[in-house]
Amino acid sequence: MNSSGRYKVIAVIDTIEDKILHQSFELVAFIKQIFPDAASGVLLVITGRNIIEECGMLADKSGFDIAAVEHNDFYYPNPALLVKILHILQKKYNPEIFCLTNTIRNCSVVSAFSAECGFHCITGIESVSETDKGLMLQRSIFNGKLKEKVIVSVQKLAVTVNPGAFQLKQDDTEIKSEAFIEKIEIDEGVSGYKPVSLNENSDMESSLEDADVIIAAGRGIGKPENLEMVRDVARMFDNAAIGASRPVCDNRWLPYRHQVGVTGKTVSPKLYMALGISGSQQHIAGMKNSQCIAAVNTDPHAAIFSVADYIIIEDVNVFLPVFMKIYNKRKW
Amino acid sequence: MKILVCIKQVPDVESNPEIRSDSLWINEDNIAFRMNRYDEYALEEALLIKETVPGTVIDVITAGPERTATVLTKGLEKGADNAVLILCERYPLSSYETALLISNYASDKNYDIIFAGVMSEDAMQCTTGPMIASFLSMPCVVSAVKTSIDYEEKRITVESELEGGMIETVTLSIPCLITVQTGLNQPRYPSLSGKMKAKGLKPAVIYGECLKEGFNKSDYKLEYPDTNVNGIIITGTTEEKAVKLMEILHERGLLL
Repeated sequence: MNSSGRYKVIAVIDTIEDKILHQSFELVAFIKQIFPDAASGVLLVITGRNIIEECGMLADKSGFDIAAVEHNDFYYPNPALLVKILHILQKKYNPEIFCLTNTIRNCSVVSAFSAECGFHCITGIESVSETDKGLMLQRSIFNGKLKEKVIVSVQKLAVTVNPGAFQLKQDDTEIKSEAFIEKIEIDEGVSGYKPVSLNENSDMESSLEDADVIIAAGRGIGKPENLEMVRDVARMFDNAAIGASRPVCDNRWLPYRHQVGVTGKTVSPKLYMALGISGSQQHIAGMKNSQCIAAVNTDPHAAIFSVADYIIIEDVNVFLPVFMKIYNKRKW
Repeated sequence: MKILVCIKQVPDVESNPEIRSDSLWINEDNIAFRMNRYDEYALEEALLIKETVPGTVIDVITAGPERTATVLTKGLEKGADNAVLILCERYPLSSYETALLISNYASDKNYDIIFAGVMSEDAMQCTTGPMIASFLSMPCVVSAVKTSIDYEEKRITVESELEGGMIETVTLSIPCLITVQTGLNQPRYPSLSGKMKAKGLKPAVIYGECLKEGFNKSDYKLEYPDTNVNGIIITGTTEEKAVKLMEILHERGLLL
């Protein structure tokens, strides 16, 4: 426990089935950017059914104090119960800011908590910088077509931070200070909301993760019949799989197991060909680490071009037949 | 069943929005507006319940300037029974304001289920639905991809999507609020009879008391993203582009 009896920053480390989701450690990088000397003022919260064993490692790794909250209903993600915990921590430690990883569940946590407690809530933070008037937080709107910048004072603030936006440096995780682990007891869960089970989406099993090449189709292909051209392109390569943007799956043109993006699969093949994909933020997050990205789209301003190595501004339905014809006549 | 569906009118994001001169919002001239796509799925889920549970009443609600009434009309055409416009001339509203206005309206209406889209396509905050639930002290589940109702037990089982392709199953007691993901159903188009019926219906208008603005104008602005394109733009005729791309892929050992 730090000497002042309060924490400036409380960050929630996500868990599923009593396992820490390591992506949440990026919150440490975010916190260090806004409070470079805050180590003693930071409390990490971790929830689970039997989670205390994970905490020692977390304390060593972060150098921050830990609050472990154990409850049967925390074995699966439980935003309703987490809101209750934030209230308890708010009363106990009066922090200036709550930080969570940006997931849809965590957005519901910060919004419910903020609405009840008069906190200012900002979700999906991508970058942060200091100004004379306070912190300037940036987030995407209109599917990344515009950015929103807001200056806030770090006071009664609850935020979610985009995965991948803040990278941990090596020395961020090698602090060996004496961290304090506190166990928070809660008597009962919340009524009216009960997590029952957690399953891999059965529609999700696919070969996307193992493929060397992913040929991905977006709404630009126009109609499901045009997927045949996409399949033809995939046949040109060894070990290729078909990927898709979410709208293609929502339209039932392809099953969800083909979906690439935050709510689908995160992939990093040797080649990713984005065909008629404009590049929503959630799609780009799932494929930007591909080794080589080629994108074909009619819109010269398509967001997918910002991550592409090779850019072709063309209607994919015009381009693909020509591409196939040339492939069939190739000389090598 | 008494159901409320929260709908937002959004600028059509297929077009590239232009930032207004004060940098606080987009230039609305020549912009098409339509129903938020997530809300289309929310409304369809309510309509599917109405088809199976006789006596179900669906209200659709939105908060905003007068132009937003078009999404309510669309909701009526699709089969909603009543529409409510909370008229607010200042726009955009924060999700906190919207949630407060809608929850104030809903507080004495005894809705069994409130549906909303998981997020709006313009603001992308994922906050309004959970805030409404919070103001009404209702259980709330986000990102539903499947719902099934147990009427006797007054309970709903919801499959809800997590990032990375996991599905969490949760049960909620009724009344509750559910935000829906795209893809959980196939939103219908208005039928001709639906359009005829909607002609006789007008949204009820109530005047929303807007709060003080959340941000000082000087502390808030919109910007265009950094559109630095680091990649190589392949130019030429369609044939030339196809040949160049094929050669590049071959040279890089990706296409043998």
